[in-house]
Amino acid sequence: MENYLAYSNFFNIYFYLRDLAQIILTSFLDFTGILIRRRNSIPLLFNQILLTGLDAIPILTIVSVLIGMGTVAEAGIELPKLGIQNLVGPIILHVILRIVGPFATALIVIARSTSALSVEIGNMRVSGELDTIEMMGANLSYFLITPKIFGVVISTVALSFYFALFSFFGGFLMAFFGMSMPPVSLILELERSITLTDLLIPILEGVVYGFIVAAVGTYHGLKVGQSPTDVPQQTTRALVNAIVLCTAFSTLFLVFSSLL
Amino acid sequence: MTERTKPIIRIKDASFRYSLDEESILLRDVNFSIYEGEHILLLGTSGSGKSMFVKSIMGLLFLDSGIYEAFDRSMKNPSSRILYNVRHKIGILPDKGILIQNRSVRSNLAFPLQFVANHSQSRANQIVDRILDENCLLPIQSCLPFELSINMIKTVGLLRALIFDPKLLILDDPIEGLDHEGFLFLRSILKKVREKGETTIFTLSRKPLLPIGVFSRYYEICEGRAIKEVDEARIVKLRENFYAPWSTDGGQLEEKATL
Repeated sequence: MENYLAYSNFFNIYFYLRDLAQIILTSFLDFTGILIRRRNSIPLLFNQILLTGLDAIPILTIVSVLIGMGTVAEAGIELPKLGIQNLVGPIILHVILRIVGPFATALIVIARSTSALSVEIGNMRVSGELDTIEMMGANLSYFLITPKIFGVVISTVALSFYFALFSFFGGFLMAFFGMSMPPVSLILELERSITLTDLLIPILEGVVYGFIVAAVGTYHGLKVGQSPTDVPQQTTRALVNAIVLCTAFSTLFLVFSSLL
Repeated sequence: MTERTKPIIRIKDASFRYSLDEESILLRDVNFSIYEGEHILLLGTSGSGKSMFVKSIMGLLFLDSGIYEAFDRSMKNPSSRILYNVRHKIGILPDKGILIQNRSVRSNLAFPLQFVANHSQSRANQIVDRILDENCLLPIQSCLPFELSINMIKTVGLLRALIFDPKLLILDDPIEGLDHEGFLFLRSILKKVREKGETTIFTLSRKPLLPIGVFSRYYEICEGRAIKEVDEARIVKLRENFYAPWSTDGGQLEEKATL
């Protein structure tokens, strides 16, 4: 029985990941369709960017400035003790741009958008809107799923850079006011150590996190049955699964990106 | 009775299920057809499976066994293109009207034009303007569905269903929840549709309130979700039973209440 349950869980995870991959691949295909033929869906894409990206800016600004200040304070105090104060710049760059920035951004997007997607689509299922839209002959992917997924992906990538930018700003504030470190030297150190890879990695991470967040939210929204009580249940699952998947990806990515 | 031409919907010994699960069969041994130009009334009590039957016709449920053809196309595992073509020819007023909640009346009417027929926004707006104007709905064009009464929701839903001049119009419980004003509005729109003569109307209802004589054939969903054809006398009897608890002179009341 235990073996059966273990196999059953394994297959459930497999089917879950397969469904998410299917949602992402379908949205890829339909996104080209939107760009070429279904231009009516483009305003929906911008609307999603507005909801996920622009509306997240206040909270992201606060979080990024505070994390930047904390990182610089920690690096500025601890690294000189080890005699490697000349590595403050590269370490801050590495931590903020490659690790903390994209992941913290993903967590904020999960908190805001996964739940929103799941609730919105779930409520549409409960009220019969999804069935009605399908019965009218409209493609749910063009109208609902693809604009949302790509809106979240574009927003997540943009927010990752925004996060990094304001983290550096917070770091400069801390360096200047808290640690009497000249910001110019910090800027010069950052300039010396930044590489193209440092800019490509946040894009890659942002894209993957965005796809995970959007696909999970959409999947659980579509999983809602006919009962309104399904909506909070699926929303909770969406949040938990999105966090787990993003953390798993982050760990795998850190392991493999160290090779880059 | 209308002269039968060709069936636009033909269902023979069909079973429909909700998912791939064997136990999810919802409708069994369905025999049903709709011919071009005729109007059909299907009566069934609450929970008898009327809305499920509508979903079956629209291809939302899986055809498990038997034959289902819509507009000469087999609906056994239909491709997305076949589904699109079939659904494009059918206008549907769902149970409770069901508009898209985060869109205004104007936007709900423009929805099929933009996302089904792929019209540009300006073209869709032109058509919607004409519809709103013809039906005196301009004052509520910016309202969201939660601001509307059930009369208005069903009216907008019906206009949305008729936007492509469908070959088949499916009305799922159209009079449920309507007041007298709503009845009249619905009647005027349906009268125009019938006079135009291009659309076949398939009405599903819980209450036998719709007028006798408008419909070519009558069906009833019986116990066990079996759909069987009944004659006009059966509908008349159902109407009498419907009015019996409230009225001794049901005839007069009936005349006032019918569509």
